Amino acid sequence: MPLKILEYVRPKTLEEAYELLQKDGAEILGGTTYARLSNRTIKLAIDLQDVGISDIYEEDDYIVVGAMARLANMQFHDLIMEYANGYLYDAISYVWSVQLRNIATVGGTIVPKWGFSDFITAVLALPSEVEFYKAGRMKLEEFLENPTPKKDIMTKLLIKKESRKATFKFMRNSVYDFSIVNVAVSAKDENGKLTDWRVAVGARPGVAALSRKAMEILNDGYDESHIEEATEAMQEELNFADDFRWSGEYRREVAGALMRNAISEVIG
Amino acid sequence: MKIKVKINGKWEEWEIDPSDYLLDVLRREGYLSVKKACDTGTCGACTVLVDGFPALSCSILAATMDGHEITTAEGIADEMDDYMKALASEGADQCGFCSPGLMVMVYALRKEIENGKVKKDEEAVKRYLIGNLCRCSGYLGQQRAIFKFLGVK
Repeated sequence: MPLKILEYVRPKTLEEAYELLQKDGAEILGGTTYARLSNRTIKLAIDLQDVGISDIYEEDDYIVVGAMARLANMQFHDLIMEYANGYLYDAISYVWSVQLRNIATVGGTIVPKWGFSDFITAVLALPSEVEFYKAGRMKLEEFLENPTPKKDIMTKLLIKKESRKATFKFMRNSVYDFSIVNVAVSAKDENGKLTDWRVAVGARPGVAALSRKAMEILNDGYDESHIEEATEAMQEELNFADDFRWSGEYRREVAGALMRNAISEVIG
Repeated sequence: MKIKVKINGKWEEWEIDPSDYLLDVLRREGYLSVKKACDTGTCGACTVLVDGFPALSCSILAATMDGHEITTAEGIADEMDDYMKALASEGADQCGFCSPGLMVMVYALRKEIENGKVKKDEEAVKRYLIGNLCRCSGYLGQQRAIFKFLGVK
């Protein structure tokens, strides 16, 4: 049985949407791209397209991306194209197809914590936060590591604006496929000195996570021995599991190779 | 429920179920260029323009389209006459099932190139069109025709 929606509503404000969401069986519609593959019944489907959370703009030290912005809106936005030498533009361009990126929303990708997501890995490698209507603002890593705020609405993704060097790597069976493992690395560029390293690994097949041990080692130095030590720390710290595509053991090895390459690219 | 959409430049009102997908509604309303193939968001045969941007009609709930503008291959056929001639001259159109979706994508790609959002080179064009699968042509004829139409050297 395909997805069944009993009632569809399109509220005009976040407050109205939040009130509707508290009803039994109410759910937020994201981009609806994966809803297609579901066989659930949604009693009340809430479409957020009119509540004013689709814009992308600068605010204080952040690039703010509304949760209802499409991945393609984000990819082609001037602020994103200019950020970290087009890092996010490039990473998003590998998310499935243009047609899907014109449907999939930022919130609809982040909130379900999709394990296969390239987008989450790429953003997690940047200092970033998410904001919920009631739960407020939290670091993206905190959101990913903790239970999702219940019956709440993600409103924004915030990416810290600073001079960063970043790169995104993946391994797939073919380019038009899901990543079997992906790695994103970034560092703050302080007049040529690289600080505040971030290493995110996703599709393990669990949702992307930071390797804090690897980040700590790279913050101490990024010569050959530190890179090797950081890679081994990442492989030890993060969980890699089997699924129908690859074994966890193979993922761990490939993630190591991708991480070394990514660090080398960031160093330049 | 009822929705109003601007389809190929003309406003229409459709009676739909909240669970209906845009692809099924379009075909029911007679827009048969929009093909139902994989029905899982992969093959691109159901591609239409929503507010000018290409999107998979199999993955969009029709209810969300109230007030939006939709363009199918029927709506751009005149503008894409040269593209269809290029396809024919390169012997690229075999069963033709994927052709309308690909035509919509090439139309969108041409605009993105004009707007400076996509580079006019071989790699960028191939990457833009990655979501359009063809099971019988092997892509080379289509690639020649698209490069010729877009002026990709």
